[in-house]
Amino acid sequence: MLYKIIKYLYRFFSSITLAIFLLLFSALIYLTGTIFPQGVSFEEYKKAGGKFLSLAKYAGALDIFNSPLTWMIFILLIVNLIFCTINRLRDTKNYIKIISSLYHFMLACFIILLFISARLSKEFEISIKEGETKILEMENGDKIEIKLNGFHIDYTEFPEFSKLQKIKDKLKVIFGKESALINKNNLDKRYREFTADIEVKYREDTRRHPLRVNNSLTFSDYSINLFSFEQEVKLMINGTESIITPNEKFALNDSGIYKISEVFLGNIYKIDGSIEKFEPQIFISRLEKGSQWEVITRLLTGDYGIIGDAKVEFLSYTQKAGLGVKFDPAVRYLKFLSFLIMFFIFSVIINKIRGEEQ
Amino acid sequence: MHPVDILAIKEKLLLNEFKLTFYSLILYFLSFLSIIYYASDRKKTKKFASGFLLFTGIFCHLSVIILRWTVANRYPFQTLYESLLWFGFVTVIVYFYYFLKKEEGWIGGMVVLPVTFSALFYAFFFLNPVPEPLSPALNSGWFFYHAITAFGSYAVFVNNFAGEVGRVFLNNEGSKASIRHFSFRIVLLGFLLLTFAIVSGAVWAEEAWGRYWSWDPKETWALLTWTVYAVYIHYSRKTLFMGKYIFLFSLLGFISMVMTFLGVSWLAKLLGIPSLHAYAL
Repeated sequence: MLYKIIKYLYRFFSSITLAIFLLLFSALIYLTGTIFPQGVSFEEYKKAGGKFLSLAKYAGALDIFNSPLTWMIFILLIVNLIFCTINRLRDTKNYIKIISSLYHFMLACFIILLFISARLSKEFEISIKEGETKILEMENGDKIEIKLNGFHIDYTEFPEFSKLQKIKDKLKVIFGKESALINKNNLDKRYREFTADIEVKYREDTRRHPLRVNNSLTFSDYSINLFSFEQEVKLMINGTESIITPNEKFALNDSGIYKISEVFLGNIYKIDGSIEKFEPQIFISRLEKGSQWEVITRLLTGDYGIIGDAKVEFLSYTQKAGLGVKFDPAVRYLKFLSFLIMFFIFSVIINKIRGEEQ
Repeated sequence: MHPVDILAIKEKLLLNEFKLTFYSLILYFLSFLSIIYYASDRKKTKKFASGFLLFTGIFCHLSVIILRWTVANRYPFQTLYESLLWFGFVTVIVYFYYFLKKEEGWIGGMVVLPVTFSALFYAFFFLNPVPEPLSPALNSGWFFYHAITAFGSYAVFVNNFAGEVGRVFLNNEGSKASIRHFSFRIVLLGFLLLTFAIVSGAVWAEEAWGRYWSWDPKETWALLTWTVYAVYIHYSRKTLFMGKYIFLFSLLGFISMVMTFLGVSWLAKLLGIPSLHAYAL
């Protein structure tokens, strides 16, 4: 009896049918995860006019990737992959089957490592001013000292190809479609690249690193990346100092609503090969009729302007870098395993393609 | 030479590139018509004519890619305009191999050529062709490998879908079997390419954003596509290519591939879900 049950369970868990069903279920989960916003509370979702409320409330669709259903599917998938590995290893004469079984086993290990990574990894976000030093004390006793030496912005100017634009404009006339028009702003658009020059002290080691997108700092089980920046502008309004962040609305003497629409500073890399350096300058905009913001003045550091009846002076400018610090002991093994899986999948598939050809 | 003079030369090259895109558009349309004509009696001369038109179209298209690569001075798949040109090119290259090698290869053209034509048509008439400098977000060694494998897999999946559509409409069992083998083989290749695209994307994300996986809509749809094709492969093997749902899985895979490539931006905007891949939208 026991033998029959074991045999039945073995057949069940090593079957391709089960694999197909589990894969289809996981596909449904991914689909749900892209339709519903993730990590949002049910009340917020309901308030925002969300649809399929019962599904969101009872099926955990608003946090589907952390739901027990998803975990169950993945655990079953791991079991299925391990049983498939054993099943394939029974036929040891066929070397493709051995490689195939190996990569199925590695896939199971990979999913287990993903679980470990999700459980053990820790993420912090810190906001740090230029010249400031912050010390992070981790639960495992590690101490990381981070200093922001400087923060700068580089702009890249876009080339202008007017003849090509004229042709596209003509095509727009032929088809009468607004979307055919080149977005004129494209030519004014510039890429901005932010660089945070940081110094990190970990144990006895000190490193200096220019942190920017695609250039994070990795050491031991830690990684530091630049994920945001914050700007603060100190204004003197009618003799009173105020700290205002860009795009935050503020009021002056009159009934108007104002904001600092843009803070501009940094190096512009121009098309002709030259580099232009911009000192900090702010653009103050007023809300006009029809929710349109109109730039009314531009101030350099130390400049003042009369807006309405108020005297507004641009005193100083500070910037902070938002850094993401991540501790993940599993990530290096995940990387190693993923390349190993790639290698084995490559071997199996190339062999299968050749086999099919024959 | 002064940078302004270089810019003037680049503009001339871009105008030629734009003309060549239009020529390839016409040539693909003509080759589609000629393949329909060839399908009526399958005469070798007609196949030669169709193949010649297709080859000329590919040649013009290749020139477009080379010119774009030269003018932009970076890999030519940053903007949607460039992505569509590149996608169309890889798709038609895979199909050309299929067309030359297989007797019944013409049937794939009924899907592949309209798809390529639509991609080029949309890019040519509705998108901005002005090349932009390399975006800081894409300035990584992984960009080339990630993009080239992702587009390679999309191209292969279009051809797989074309083959499966052909299988539905053909009556001859021999032709069906031949298409079946071709479709399965290329889907294995596409699966391999997509796996590499996902893995390289995750490694790149770890370097760029400090997270290898964020359940971003683009990432999730790529994983969905991978899963659907994993189902397709396992199901085809299990049923010895005779399963009645093979076409359904191929169709689902094709839809999720299109969603991954183009639909995610639309869906993210529609549902107000933020995406880390905003630069690609």
